[in-house]
Amino acid sequence: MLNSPEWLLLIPALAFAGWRWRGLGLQRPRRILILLGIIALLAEPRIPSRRGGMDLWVLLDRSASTADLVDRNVAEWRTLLDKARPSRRDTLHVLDYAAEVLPADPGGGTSLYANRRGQTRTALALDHVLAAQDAGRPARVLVFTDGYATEPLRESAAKLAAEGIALDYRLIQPPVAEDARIASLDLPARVQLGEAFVLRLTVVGTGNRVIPLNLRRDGQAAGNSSVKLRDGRGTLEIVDHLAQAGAHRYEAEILPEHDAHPGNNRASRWVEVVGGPRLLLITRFPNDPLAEVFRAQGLTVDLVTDPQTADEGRLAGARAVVIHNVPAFDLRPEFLRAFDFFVREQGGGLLMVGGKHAFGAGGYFQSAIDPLLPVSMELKNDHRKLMVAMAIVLDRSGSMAATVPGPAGQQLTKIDMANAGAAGAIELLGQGDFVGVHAVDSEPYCIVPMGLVGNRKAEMLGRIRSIQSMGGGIFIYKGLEAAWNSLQPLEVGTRHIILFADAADSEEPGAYKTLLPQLTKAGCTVSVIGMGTRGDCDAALLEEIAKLGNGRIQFTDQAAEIPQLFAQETMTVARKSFIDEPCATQATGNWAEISPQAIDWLGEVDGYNLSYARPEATVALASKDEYLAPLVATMRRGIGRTAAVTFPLGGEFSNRARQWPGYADCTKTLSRWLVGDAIPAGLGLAQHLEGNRLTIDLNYSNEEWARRLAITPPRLKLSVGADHPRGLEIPWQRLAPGHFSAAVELEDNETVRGVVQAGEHALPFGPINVGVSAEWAFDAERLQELRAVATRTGGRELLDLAHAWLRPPVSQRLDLRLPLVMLILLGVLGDALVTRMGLVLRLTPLLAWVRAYNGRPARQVTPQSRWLRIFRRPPSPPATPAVPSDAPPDAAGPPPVAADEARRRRFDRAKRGE
Amino acid sequence: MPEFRLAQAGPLWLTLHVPLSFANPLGLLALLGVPAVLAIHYLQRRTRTIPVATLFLIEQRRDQSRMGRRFERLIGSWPMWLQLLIVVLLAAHLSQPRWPLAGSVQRLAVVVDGSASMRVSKRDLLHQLTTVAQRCQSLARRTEYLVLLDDPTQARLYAGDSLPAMLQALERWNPVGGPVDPTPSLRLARERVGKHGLVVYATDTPLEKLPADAVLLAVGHPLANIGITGLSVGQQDGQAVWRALVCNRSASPQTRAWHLEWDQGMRSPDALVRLAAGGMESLSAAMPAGATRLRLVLDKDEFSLDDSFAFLTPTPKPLTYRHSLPAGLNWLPERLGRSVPGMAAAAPGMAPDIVLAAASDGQFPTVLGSGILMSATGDANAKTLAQPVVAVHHPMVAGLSWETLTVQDVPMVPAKPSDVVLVWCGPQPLVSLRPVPLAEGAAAAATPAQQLVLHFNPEFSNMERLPAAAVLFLRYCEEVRLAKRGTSREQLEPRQALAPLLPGELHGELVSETLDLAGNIVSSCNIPPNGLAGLRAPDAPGFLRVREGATTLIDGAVAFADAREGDFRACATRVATTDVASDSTAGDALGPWWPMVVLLVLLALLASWALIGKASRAQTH
Repeated sequence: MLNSPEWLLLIPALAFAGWRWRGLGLQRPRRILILLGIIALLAEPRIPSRRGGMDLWVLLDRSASTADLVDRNVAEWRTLLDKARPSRRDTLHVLDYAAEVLPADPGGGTSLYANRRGQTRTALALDHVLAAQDAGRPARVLVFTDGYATEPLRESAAKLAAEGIALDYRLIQPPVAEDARIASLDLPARVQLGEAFVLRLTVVGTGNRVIPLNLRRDGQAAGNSSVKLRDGRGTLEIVDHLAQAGAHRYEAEILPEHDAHPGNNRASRWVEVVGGPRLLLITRFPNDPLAEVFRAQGLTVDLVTDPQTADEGRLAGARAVVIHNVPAFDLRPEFLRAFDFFVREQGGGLLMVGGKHAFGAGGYFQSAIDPLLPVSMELKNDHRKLMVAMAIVLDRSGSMAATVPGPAGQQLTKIDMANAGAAGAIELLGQGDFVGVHAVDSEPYCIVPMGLVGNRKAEMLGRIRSIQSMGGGIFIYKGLEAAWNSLQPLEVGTRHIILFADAADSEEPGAYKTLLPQLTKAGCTVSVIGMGTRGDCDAALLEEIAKLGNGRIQFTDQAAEIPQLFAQETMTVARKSFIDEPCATQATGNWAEISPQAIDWLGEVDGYNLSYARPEATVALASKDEYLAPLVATMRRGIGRTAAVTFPLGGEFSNRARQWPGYADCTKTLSRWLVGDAIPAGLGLAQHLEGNRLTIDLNYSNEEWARRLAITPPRLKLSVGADHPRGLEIPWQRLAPGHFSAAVELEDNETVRGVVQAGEHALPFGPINVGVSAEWAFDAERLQELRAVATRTGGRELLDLAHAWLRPPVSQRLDLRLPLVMLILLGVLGDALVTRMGLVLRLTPLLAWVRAYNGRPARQVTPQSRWLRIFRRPPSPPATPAVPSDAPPDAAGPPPVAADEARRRRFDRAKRGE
Repeated sequence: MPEFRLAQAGPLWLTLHVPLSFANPLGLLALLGVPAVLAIHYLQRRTRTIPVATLFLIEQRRDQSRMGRRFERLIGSWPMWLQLLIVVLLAAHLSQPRWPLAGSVQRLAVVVDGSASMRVSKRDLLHQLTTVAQRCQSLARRTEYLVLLDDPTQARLYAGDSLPAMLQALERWNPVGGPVDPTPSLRLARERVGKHGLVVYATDTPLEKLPADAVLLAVGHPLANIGITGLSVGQQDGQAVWRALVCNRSASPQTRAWHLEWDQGMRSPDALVRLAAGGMESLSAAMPAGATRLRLVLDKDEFSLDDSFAFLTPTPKPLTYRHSLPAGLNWLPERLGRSVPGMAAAAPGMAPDIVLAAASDGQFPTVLGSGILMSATGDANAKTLAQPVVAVHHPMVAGLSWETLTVQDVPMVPAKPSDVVLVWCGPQPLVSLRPVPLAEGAAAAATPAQQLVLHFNPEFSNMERLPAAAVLFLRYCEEVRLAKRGTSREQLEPRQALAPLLPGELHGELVSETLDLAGNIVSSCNIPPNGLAGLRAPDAPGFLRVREGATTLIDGAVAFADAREGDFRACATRVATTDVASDSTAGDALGPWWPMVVLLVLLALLASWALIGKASRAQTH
């Protein structure tokens, strides 16, 4: 095969030259050969070849399910593969993979894979090979795996087949051990309200036995049962139905007597119950008057009177949420965090209704909800309470040295965040307030002595920011005692202690039950900010301290939230944000922006939460006092809508409001505006979780949606992790007319919510989680897929590693240019020698020698004379007479003028005696 | 191959700062040809006796020796110098000299935005990439290039060390996709080039933050694009009508001419469409009589992909049914005929695709192929089953709600062990899929047909009004349709997967053909049996036919209608500068010039032979 055959045109050109200029001697065979070699060189000849080396890519599955087996055997496998390597030209590449792909330790492979082992991303490893493999060089891939990838392989299979790379596999199976695991927990992603559905739990283990099962729904026991294993496999099917719309979380845990891997005994899944337009009302009043108003409007009201039970699942399917006088610290932090995505991206509505536990008074200042509301809650000097003395006790024990992600991607320690929180609290205090800070491990250390804030803020902040974690645990009692000792002498209106402590490492509470009553008796209060969750070992102690101290308790496992909690606590203590006096109102006329129907506003309210309208908010009703504070305000956030009614609509200070004739009209209109318009028909959304891969399909069928989506293409957003506070946008692929699809890999133990935005409409979905870690799912389809991919690419299951280096049935193209150059060089040198020596290549003696060698009759040629006869001098030309002086001018020899000149020079030299 | 650096060979080279290296240092052995040539020219020919008139002419034969074949003295000649030149050139060719800098190989990985809008910016992309590549080349004489698409499921565009080849690969590339998250490809690229390599993300829409330390190379520019964003064919007043949406993606009003082309060179007169800034207009007209393939054409602009729209009238494969149901169940065939596209009663004498049959005496009649079978027993006065109705996890009933299905508590047709029960009511199967045994002689790998079995009598249930039942029947009919051999006329997207539109089992050779408007074959390719999964519609808009032997399976039109790609308002040019470093060495000095070297060898050879011939003739004379 020639790469540049156009150079063959030189053959006739050179033939012509040889014919035209006989003096070139191109008719001589050796020169013909040389010229043909040069032309061939230019034409770039390549021949198919099976020579040369091949690459063997060994992929070692280091995921959690196979890690031990690989770790034990990898050195032996490498030795066997090295021994079986056919030649030095063949190269062995070894890669470790699990959730990521890394080159294996070249030394021998006994190293441990230090990366995440929670997934088996065989397709990613194959993609890595495909990207690294030299084009045209034969290669095979050998995968050591249990065969259970956590992602589909079909896309990689097509690419492997296209590149001619065969995939071999060797299945490594764990030794039989006493282990049981939940292989799957299957639930429909969505069901109708009241629809019966099947919950199927599959447990895989060894032998025949009965394994106890603990099943929970939304954290509550949903029945204890057991799973009967037969031949290592057991399935339990339970029919259930849910009467409450929203998302519900099922958790299953098996409790085997003997178990090698307790980590794979739990599974959880969410089920979304679809109902009509639903409104979530979070309130402390069981007979909240708002509920009746909303129901009268045709909305399904999901009433939550125990705020601690509200989780992000309750937001599923809800069109709007109303928080009616419930303090922030009564709501779970993760629930509060979910609101941002719910409003901005999922198009949900949010209404906060005023009261003594709402807005700033409820601790919402700088909370996750704060930026969503149409009113702000900042502190202004003229609204402060009486003089405040605050003592801050900071935990600087060893656990506070842990690194956490901070703002803008910085890596900070927990103590850094606590320092920032304490500093922020001091920033919020006025110059007439007192503050003191103690850092506590096994002893309290006074960082900022109790004193007037005055103009010493900068100095105080500098001291606080220098606090470092010093190891050990926090001695709670000593910290509280030191704080109280500093507060006790002060005669101020409000004395308060903020204790910041690790909920999992709070020691030595000592005589706190004696100390705290003394504090409260003297008018001091104690609030606690716990680093951790309510489930941590010392959380109960911290809760009791807050309870005995007449304060609040807030937990967070997100270190970045610590400064916000300090700020909320400070605001609650230092600010008088609920005006508990009657106040006249004034309408602004902006109500028309949300409703064309005018409303007859109430003339006075019994009290209200002091706040300030944001610039982008629309204020419909304001107070007529000196603050001109917003009483009813609305605003759009993202594609969602939020509203604030800062006066109470129920409970204390709500008499005038409840007697107001326009009460129902106002709340109905607000709720209708918050719920938004219904989505036009013709848009279908389906979600499918396969392993860790979540696939979302969006279909539209009618022309109206085609038009809408042509103007505003649909967007898919997922709420995932702290790296994407506003959600992660996943690009769609257009699979067919009217069909979009998108896929995303979910992390284990990650719960995501999503939304498809189509113009001003939103189709929310979720929460969705990978119920069973895909690594432990052992889906038989994956094993079959691996086998199918191997077959498709020409690979096989490899039982004997000695056969690993089987060359794939593809051939290389061997470049002949270098050997041709060498031959040409030899030819040129040979030609020069022969020409120089005047030798003539005679083939007759050579042929005679060949015949004699083959035993055929030949002419008598003596061995001594053979080689001499092959190269013979040409016969001497016959003696020719001297060239006559009148010879023709083209005869050989120098022209007469040159000869005369030479003769003259020689004569001159002779004369000079040279 | 081990690399040999002349710069390491001795102090002289270090002094001269000649950082020369050779990819094939063994090729330097060819320089042994130099002493060989010199040796040859040291050899002198034996003196031949030539009678001459004067002795001084002997001086003209000074390259001859009286003793012959002895090393006596070197006499320079043009042939000798030419032969030395040839040897040196060939040695250079063999040893493949390189001119590395102090660094070495620079690896450049380019992840290219594969969305269709990149077509407009391809020229700018090539220009900018050339600049980036040249900057890399200036650091190391050898540069390795890797070009990946942002969609990691697509094959790489180029991998190698030739800039022209890389640019050619990009020149040949015609993007038709939509936006894709480039993160996986960028990470893969970073893995390939290492920490010193350069990863470039080439796109037309600037991004603020890129993973894997990638450098942004945004080469787009805002464009006033007018394009067709969708077209549908429907019925209006009993006549087939096409309706297209034309969108103006610019900040100013625009006017465009459009016309329709169909089949054998037919063309409608030009018409104008006026579009407000950012507006959308609908074009509509009746389908020309007898037209099978059509193309709506707008005036061309810079982004031409959405300036024409190839289309046809989508028509599903026809389905037929025959029923032998009691009068109380006549609503079912009537509803199927009304709601399932392309469904009609089978003509007498023709085999139906779906048989609707009711059981008598608890036994279903024998139905060999696909069918919907149901019980016929019931009693209007019987009470209904009280247990909840539950659907299993199966694609046929996924997302369907059955809780309102009411079924009479009367003896039902029992399920067979081979039945796949889809819907249960307590222990009672209500709906099943029943595999039909393969007929004798059928291929072992053939997919058996399935029958939809209703174990109860729908007449005495609320199934007629149940939305889930309607969807179930539709899904079943579509499954039968997919398995049927026949021609479906499809409106397709570029690169749309075709396997979901084809029967699972194919018996003959599959051929994919692209057609022009008149139906002439433009190109054709045979699909190997294992290539079906990867079979896709072509990248370029036009017409397509997929046939299995003589049977056309898909008659399709491929048109681009991704509205996202036609919007260039966010496109911009932004090139992030960055430091590039290199971490190993090499660089081909001869590069593309080696044919010139060989030609020089040829010329030198011919010249030497000419001179030798001339000298020889002179000697002879």
